[in-house]
Amino acid sequence: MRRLRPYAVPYLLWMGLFILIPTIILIILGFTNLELYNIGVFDITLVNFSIFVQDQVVNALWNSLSYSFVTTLICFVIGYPVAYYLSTLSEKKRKILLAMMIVPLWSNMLLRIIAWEKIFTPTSIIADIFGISLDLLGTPTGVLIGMIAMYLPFMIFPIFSVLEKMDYKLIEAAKDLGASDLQTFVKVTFPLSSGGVVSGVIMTMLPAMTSFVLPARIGLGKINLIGNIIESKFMKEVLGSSGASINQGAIISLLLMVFSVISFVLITRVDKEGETLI
Amino acid sequence: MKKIVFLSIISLLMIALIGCTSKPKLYVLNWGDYIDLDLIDVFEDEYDVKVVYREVGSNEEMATLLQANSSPYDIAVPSDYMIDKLKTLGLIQPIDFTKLTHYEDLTVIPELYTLYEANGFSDYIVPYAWGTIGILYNTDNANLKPLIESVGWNALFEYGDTYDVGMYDSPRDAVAAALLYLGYHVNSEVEAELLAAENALKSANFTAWGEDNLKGLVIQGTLDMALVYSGDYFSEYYLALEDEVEINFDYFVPETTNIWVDAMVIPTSAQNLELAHKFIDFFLEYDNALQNSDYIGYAPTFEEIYDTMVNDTEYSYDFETFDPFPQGTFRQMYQYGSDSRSEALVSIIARAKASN
Amino acid sequence: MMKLSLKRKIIRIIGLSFTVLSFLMIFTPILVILVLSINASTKGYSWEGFTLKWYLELFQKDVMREPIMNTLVIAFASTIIATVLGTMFAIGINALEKKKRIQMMVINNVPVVNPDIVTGISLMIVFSLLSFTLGYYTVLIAHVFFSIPYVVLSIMPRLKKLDPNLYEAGLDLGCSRISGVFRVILPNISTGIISGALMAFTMSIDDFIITYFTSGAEYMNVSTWLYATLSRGRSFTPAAYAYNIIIFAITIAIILFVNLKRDRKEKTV
Repeated sequence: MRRLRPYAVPYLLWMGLFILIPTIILIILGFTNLELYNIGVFDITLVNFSIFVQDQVVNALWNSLSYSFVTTLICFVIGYPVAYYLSTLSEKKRKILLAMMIVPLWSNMLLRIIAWEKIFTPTSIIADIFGISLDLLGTPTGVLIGMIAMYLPFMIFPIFSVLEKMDYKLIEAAKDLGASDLQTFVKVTFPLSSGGVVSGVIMTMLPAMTSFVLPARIGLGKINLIGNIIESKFMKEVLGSSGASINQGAIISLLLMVFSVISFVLITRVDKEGETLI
Repeated sequence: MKKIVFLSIISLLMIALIGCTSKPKLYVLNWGDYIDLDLIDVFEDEYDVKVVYREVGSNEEMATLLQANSSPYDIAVPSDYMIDKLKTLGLIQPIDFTKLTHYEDLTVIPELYTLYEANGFSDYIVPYAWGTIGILYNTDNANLKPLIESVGWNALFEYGDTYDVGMYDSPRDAVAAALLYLGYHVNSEVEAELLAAENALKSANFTAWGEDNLKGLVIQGTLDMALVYSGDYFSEYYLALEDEVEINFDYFVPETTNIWVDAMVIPTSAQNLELAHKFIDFFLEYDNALQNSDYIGYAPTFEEIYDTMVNDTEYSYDFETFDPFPQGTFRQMYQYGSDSRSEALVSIIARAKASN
Repeated sequence: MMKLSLKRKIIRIIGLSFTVLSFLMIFTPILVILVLSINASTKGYSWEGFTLKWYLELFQKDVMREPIMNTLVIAFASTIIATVLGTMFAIGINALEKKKRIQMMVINNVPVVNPDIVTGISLMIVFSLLSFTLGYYTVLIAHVFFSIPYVVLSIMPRLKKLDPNLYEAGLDLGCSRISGVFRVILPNISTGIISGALMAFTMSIDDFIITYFTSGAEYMNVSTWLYATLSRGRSFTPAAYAYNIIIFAITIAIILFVNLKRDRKEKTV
C-alpha cells in the first residue's frame, strides 16, 4: 500500500490553501488595520479588540454560549436514549429509521425556519388546520425548540454510530461478572460511547453557537448570537474608509476558531482520527 | 459503474455549459422581485446579451458586493443614502444623459428631484421608485386607527406596553423613526439628539425587531403595528387582492417622514458602459417604464407614468395611498453622513435590541 | 427476574418515546412545509383552500428555475468531484504510517468541526486574494472543499478493515498501481464510498452559509435566493415549498426503493 501514499499529497496542499492561508489572513486582519478589499500597508494594532467591550457583542457572546449550551444539553438528554434505542433495533428497522432521520436534512434550512415561525405564531395556518396555537415567537423557548429540532440529528448520528459498532461481548462479559444493568451502562457502555458523545456535542454546539438566521427570525431580532454579529461585520457593515468592520469580524472569527481548537483537543483525546464525527 | 461514470460526465458537461455563454453579459444588482423579468427577456433579445441578475436583501450587502468587486456590475439599484456613500467612495460614476434618448420624454417628479438634487447626486442616478416609511397596523382592532392617526410616530414609541409594536431592524430606519418621533431631522448628527433617539428606542418596549417579516406579523395579529416601508404595504395589498382575502391592515404616514428613493446607478466596475446606458434607457421608454412600474407597484418617479397609473382606468392606482408627497406634508431624505455616524447608528440599534 | 425485565421495559419505553419525540420535532416543519405548499394563499397567513398551483408554477414560471438548477447542478457536480477526490485522498491517507495518518485526519476534520461561517469566510478570503470572480466555480470549489472531509471520514473505516496484503497480492498478480486500486481496493470500500457520496450530497443541497459567502453575481442557490427574498425581496413564492416537498418525496422514494430491493434480494438468495 505504500505506493499509494502520493495520493495524500495533493490533499495536504489543497487543505493548506484553504485552511492555513485564510487562518493566517484572519490573524493578520484581526491584529492590524489591513483592508481586505484594498490591500496595502498596515499597522499592527489591538484596536479591533475594542468590540469585546461593546454591549451588543458581550450580549451576543453570552447568548451564544448559553443558548448553545442549553441546546446541546437537551439534545444530549434526548439524543442519547434515541441513539441507544435505535442501536437495539433489527438491522432493517435501524437502517430505515436512520434514513428517515437524514431525509429531512435535505429540506432547505431556511424553509424549515419559516415553518417553525408559522408554528410559533398563534393565529397562523397551523392554528387554522390543526387547532394548535403556540405563541413562542420572540421567546427564548421558541428559539431553543427551533435549535434543538435543527441540530438534534447531529447529536444522534455520532452516538448511534459508536453504539452500533460496539462490541456486545464486552457488555455480556460485564453482566456475566455480575454487574447490574445500571453498572454495566455506567462502567462499560457509556465510557465506550464517549467518543460519539464528544463528537455529538461538538457537532451540535458549534453550529448552534454560530447560527444567525434562526435567532433573527424566531427570536424576532431580539435574541442575537455571535453569528449575527459576524454576518453583519462581513456582509453588512463593510462600508467606509476604515474597513474596520471586517477586522472586527476577523477577531470574532478567530475567537470561534479557538472554540474549534478546544473541540479538536477534546476529540483527539477520545477518538484520534475523528471517525465518530459522522 | 459505467452508469455512474456516464452520469458524472454529463453533469460536468452541464456545469461547463451553464458556466459560460458566448454572449456579452450585463451584470445587474437589484432587490428581489423589483423588476419585470419579462422586460429583461425583451432586452436580452433586442440587444443579444445575457443579463446576469443578482438579488440582494440590503443596501449594505449591495455596497459590499460593489466594494468587494467580486463581479463587474454594470447596473445597481441602491437607495438614497447608499448612493450618497457610493459616490463618495468613488464606486459609481456619473451617468451620460446624452446617451439616454428617452430621458427627455419623461419628467422626474419635481418634489423628488428637489430632494435628491439637494443631496448632490443628481448626475449619478436615474430614479427608479420612491416612497415613504410609515406605520403598518392591523385594523381588526378598531381603536388603532384613530390612535395612530392622532398621535403619529408616538404610537410606535409610547404604546409598547399596551400594544405589540414592531421595529425595522435597520439602523438607519429605526433611528430615523425615533428622531422623527422626537421632532428632529432624520439626518441629525447632534450627539444629544442621537442619544435621545437611542433612549427612545430602548424604552419603547418593542415586541419584535424584523425586516420583511414585520408585515406578516402585523397581518397575522402577532403585532398590532410596525414601522415599514410603503413598499411593504403595497406588496401585501396587491397580494391580498390577488388572493382575494380580506384586507385587515392599513398604512399610515405621519405628516413628517422620510422619503426613500431607489435609483439606477452605474458602478465604476462596469465593463460595458454602452450597454449599461442602453439598459437604463430601455427602462425609460414610456411603455416599458409603465409596464415595469405597474409590475413592481411602487410609486413611479416620473410624472407621465405617475399620471397614467393614477388616472387611466386601466390602472387606476389609489391616489390617496399612492402619493409619497402630498401637499402640506414634510419630507426628508437620508444622507449618508459621516462614517462615524453610520457606525453610531449600528451601535445604537444593537444596544437598543440588546436592552429590549 | 420480574423486576429486571420491568426495568428494561421502562428503559425501552423511554427510548421509544424519545425516539417518537425526536421524529416529531424533525418532521413537524416538513409537515408544515407540505401544508404551505398546497395552500392557495401566497403568504400562508391562513388556510385558503387546497391548490396545486405552486407545483405547476415551479415548472411554468422562471422565478425559481435558476436557483433550483444551480442548487442541483452544484450538488451533483460537487458530490461527484468530492467523491472521486475524497476516495483518492482516503486511500493515500490510509497508506501513510500511523502518526502521519492521524495528523492528516486531524487536518481533514478541520472543515467538519469548524463552524460553517468560519469556513465560508475563509474561502471568501482566499478567493478574494486570488482575485477569483465569485460565482459558479467558486461555489463549486467551496462545496467540493467542505464535502471531501465527509467522504474521507466515511471511507476510512472500510479501508482500515481492508487487508493491506490484498492490494500487494493484486500487484503481484500483475495489476498496475492504478488497476490494483480499481480491482482490489474500490470494490471492497464501495459501501463507504456510497455513504460518503450521500453525505456530500446532503451537505451540498442544503448549504446556505458557505454559499452565501462564496457566491457572486452569477450564482444563486435556493438558500441564498430565499435569504435575499426574505429580507427585502418580494419575490417569495410558495413554489419554494413545492420544490422542497418534491425533493423530499424523491428522497423518500429512493430510500424505500433501495430497501425494498434489498429485501427482495435477501429473499431470493
